[in-house]
Amino acid sequence: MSHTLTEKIIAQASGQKSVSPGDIVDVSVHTAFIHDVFISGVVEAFSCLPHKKVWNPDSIVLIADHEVPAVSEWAGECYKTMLRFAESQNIKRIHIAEGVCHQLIPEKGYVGPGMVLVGTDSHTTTHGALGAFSTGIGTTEMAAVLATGKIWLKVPETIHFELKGSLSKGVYAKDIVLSMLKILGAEGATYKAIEITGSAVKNLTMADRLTICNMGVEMGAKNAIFAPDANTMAYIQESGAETSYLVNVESPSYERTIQMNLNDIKPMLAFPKGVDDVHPVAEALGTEIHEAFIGSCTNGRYEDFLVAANIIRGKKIPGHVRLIITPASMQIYKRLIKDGLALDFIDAGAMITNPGCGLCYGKHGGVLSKTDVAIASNNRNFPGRLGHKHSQVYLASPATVACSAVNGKISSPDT
Amino acid sequence: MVETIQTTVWKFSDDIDTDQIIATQYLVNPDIHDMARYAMEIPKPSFASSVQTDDIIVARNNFGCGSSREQAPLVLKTLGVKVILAVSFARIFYRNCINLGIRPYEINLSQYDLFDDQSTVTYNPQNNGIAVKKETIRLNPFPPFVEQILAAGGLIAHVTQQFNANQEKK
Repeated sequence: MSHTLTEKIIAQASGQKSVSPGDIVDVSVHTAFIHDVFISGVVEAFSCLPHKKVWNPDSIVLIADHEVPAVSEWAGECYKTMLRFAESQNIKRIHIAEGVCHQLIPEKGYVGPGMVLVGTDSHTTTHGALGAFSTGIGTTEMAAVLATGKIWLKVPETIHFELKGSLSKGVYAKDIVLSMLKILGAEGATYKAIEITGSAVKNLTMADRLTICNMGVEMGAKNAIFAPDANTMAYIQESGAETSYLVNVESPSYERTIQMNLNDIKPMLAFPKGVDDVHPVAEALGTEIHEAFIGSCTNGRYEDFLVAANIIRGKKIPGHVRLIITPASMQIYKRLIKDGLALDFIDAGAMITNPGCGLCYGKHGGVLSKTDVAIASNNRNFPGRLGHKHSQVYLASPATVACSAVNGKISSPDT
Repeated sequence: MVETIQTTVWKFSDDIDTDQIIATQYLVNPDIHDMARYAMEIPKPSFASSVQTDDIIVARNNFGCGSSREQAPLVLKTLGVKVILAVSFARIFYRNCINLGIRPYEINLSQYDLFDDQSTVTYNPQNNGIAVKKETIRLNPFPPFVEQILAAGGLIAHVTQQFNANQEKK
């Protein structure tokens, strides 16, 4: 009986020899980030505390990504609140309109293996891809973290996914995580950790792992995590993240293990009913679509656009479809331009937007009408999430979105 | 001291997400009381205008799933909700409730089935009991650490108390 990666990280960060599921411990936070939508709430709650200064300005990251460019008269005030708070607290890590938080944090080296990271966005589970314990928290809780550098955590039980085999043509990391959602449902991992291991993991890129961990929260998980390996260390070398928190695990004991053979996975869709209403793409072939979206913190990385561009290049998007491309960071955007992918998309009739979260949270840059049907590479399709409450959203991999955009109807990339 | 509270039940089904509790479009509203008028607009349009102080929400699985927006529990608190019962809660929402001083109690499915929407039940905060129909449900107490936060009235008050206690020691 040995401890899981999540348990080891929590034990290390709480100064305990070991911790077990159910224990409540006070944990030191290594990185805390706040995004524009909640900055006012956090600053207001922080001002109610007697602490005048944050616990460590170098551990705090401020990112404006949801409301850029300004969507309302309110947005400009959010940036100003952020800038004022950064200045008064001497916070240097501030990024306005440079990218989506869940891309910037790994890219800028703000997360490394074994770290404890908390953020005001629910998709903070993303950073477990780098072997960190990473979870989303509310604004009041963030104010307390800023003041004390600590957070209380109940040690979660761990659900283990063991992946073997390899992905077939046209099948991607998004299809893996949609298949996990099909098994566990939208609440199957509530309060729990998800740990992903197995012989197939070494072939998953960091982009793949970020996609999978990103949607951990859609299964209700507290965190989702991959043990760091050679891929992780290569990525970290590039990003310059801290590596001193690295912990090792040996044959951990899990609450349950679910085995998945990647050879069995097909291109999948979450149907408009919800994130866990998952079916093979084959069941929706031919459904007419009006909007196609490739982007978001789930699937807005260079690797995603490369796959999509290879499908779209030289083709024309039908007139009834709006294809929207949203790179997850300026760095990715620049690569799309340099490598000619941006031109491939524009020539096909796509729109390219600045990096941001606008479309995925139904605010701007692709809001759906009552009768719209969309296929999108993001992580949520709750009723009304992307626009009108009767609009319909299918979640899919960038490849499936690209094929569907080209054909004007839901199509599969495996044929 | 009020020993028991007669209160109305607002019953919800599975997967009521934070977008349904308060939709994104209302989050920009700087006035929480004004924002609260739109709480539960999609799943239960009559909720915001009819809910009374101390009314109890009873939900099935995964209540509060979706985004981390604290406005979701905050609009409910603003409308007077202090106790939420659910078969399960989404974890960020659960923590946000505690941090705001709302009590999120887990119940089982057969207990959930006892409640009728808009029925009156009797809540006894002293012994964590809820009398519904002919039965009394005993809610599980929170761990002492969590109870401390709730007793203080939420996390801000709790952290302030701790800070002041540390100052006195110094």
